Amino acid sequence: MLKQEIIEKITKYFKLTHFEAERIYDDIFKSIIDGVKIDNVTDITNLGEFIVKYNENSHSEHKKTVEFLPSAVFEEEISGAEGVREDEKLKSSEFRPGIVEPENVQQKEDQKFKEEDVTQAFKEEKKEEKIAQPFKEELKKEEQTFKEELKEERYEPPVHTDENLSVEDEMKRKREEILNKLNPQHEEEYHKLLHVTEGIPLNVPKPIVIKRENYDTPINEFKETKEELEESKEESKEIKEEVNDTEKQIEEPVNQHEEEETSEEFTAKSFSDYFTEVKNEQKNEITSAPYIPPVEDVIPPAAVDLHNEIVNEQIPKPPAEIEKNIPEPLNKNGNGYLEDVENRSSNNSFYIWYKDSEPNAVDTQTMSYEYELLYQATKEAEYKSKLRIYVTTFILFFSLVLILLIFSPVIYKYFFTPQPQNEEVQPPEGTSDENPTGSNNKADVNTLEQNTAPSNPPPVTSNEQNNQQQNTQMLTEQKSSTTESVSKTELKDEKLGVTYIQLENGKFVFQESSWNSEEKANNRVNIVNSYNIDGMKGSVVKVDLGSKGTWYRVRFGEFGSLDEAKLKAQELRKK
Amino acid sequence: MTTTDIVNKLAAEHSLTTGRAEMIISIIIERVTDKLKTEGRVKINDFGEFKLVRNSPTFMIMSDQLISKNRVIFEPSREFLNFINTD
Repeated sequence: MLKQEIIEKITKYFKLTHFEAERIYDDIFKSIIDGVKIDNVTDITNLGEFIVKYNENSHSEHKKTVEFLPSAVFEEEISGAEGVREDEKLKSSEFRPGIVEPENVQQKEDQKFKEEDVTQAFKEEKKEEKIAQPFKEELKKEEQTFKEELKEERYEPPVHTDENLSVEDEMKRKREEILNKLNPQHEEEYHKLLHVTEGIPLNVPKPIVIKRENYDTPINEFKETKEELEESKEESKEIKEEVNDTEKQIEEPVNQHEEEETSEEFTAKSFSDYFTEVKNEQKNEITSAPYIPPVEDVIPPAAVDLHNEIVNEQIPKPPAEIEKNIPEPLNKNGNGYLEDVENRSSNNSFYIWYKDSEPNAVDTQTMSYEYELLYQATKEAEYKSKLRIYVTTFILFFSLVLILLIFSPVIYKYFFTPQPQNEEVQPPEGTSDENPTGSNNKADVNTLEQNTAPSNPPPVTSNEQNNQQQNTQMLTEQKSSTTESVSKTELKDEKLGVTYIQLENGKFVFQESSWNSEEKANNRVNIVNSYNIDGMKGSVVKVDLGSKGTWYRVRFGEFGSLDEAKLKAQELRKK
Repeated sequence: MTTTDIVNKLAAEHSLTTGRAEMIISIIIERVTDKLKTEGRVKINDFGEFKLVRNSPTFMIMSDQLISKNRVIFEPSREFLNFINTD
């Protein structure tokens, strides 16, 4: 049963299979046994130690035996247990019952009751003389057997011999010896204590039967209940009589006050009042003189005086009878207050302070309670207002974030989209034949201008001057146009149909024309070379313009300055 | 051998954590003590039997105290004794 319970518990808690749990269970005890065999000791916390003990008797089957020494925790847990078997109690030589088990007592009492009932019945039947003899004999037998059983149940522990004495018994004996030496009367006292009759040795005391209240009560209880029932019946009769009397009294012409009193009494009587009879006189004594505290004790006299001064009125003194009834306080201050130092010191929270007066404990308590209520109310209000603020701010923030999230694509479109660059979108300028953007040569207009400035202009004629003026105008126009497009590296001369290009080495070249095929370009170069212009070296540059196809640009140069290039270009166009 | 050794052995053999193994042992001990308390006797197969015996309070009377104390006795099973005595 125990094994099954443990296995079920393990399977339940650790979610293991039944087989695994069983294996674990077996392994634990197996390992304990192994430990005992190998190390001679296995120590298990919260349980105890299993130690190997060698048998001195050669007759026994096993040389080694196992002894169990329980741990302190285990002993403590078990010390309060009541689960000792009756068989063991009787069998075990060491056992001496200290307290008789409640079950045994109950059984005995039940048997006693039964016997009493039987005897009573037997007596009654005897009177009537209607009983058969065998029944009588049976009863007698039962009585005898019961008496014998009772005798048997009186447990007498076996006498200890010196050989089988335990350590405790030895201790006991020594102690008794010492006590006897010190006090010779001790032996008699000890006998009295143990309820032992004369003749029995000291070492074998009789068990002490401590009768608990629970087992003595049933007979008495029954009697008591009967008495109570009888009393209650009597009381009920009395009550009925009282009620009848009151009814009669009401019917009779009596004063109104008396009627009210009787009716009040009748209504005020509770169930408990029937059992605790309080005399009407006593009640009247209590009700007739209720404690009315004088005004002076409640309000400080200084305040009363002040009030009197203001109002010019004298408060009527309480009647002399009431003053007599009221017991005077033991200790009074100058202002007529009780010195409740403890109450005062315990509650220092709040009190009204009058001039030349000390705080009253009752007042302070009440005021402190009110003050606490107020404080709580204010705190609640503060908390609520704060909570409102927090909640509103949170909601606002959350709503803002939500709105931003919802309109994020729109906002992105309006604010963060990259603006289209005009330069990239602008179509490349140029003549029908020529293609403008020379990706190979990288040079800015600014650099072109810088280069033009320092260069010394060569000697020119009037025509040339005119041309130059025209060119400069063109250049300015071009500048205005080039300022818009920064990436341009070329200078166009629309009149001559030529574009000037600055190379990386700082020299200038002008593009005369561009052709679809390389042959045409080469032919053009040859034609120009045939004119025999100084410093003109033709070159063909291949350019891929994507959708427009591949073009072959015919260029001439390289010249030291832009002006030189322009002059050469003019010469070429003239021829 | 101690509990820690047993715990380690269990953990290694059954692929358990040491904490779990310790818990299992504690459950067994708890169960055994409960059973001892209630019934006064616990029998474990192939291991032995724990018995509860009540000590007499006569010794305690001297100190004006009527307290009975329980004592645990362990009786090893035949298998246990045979296993120990075999070499």
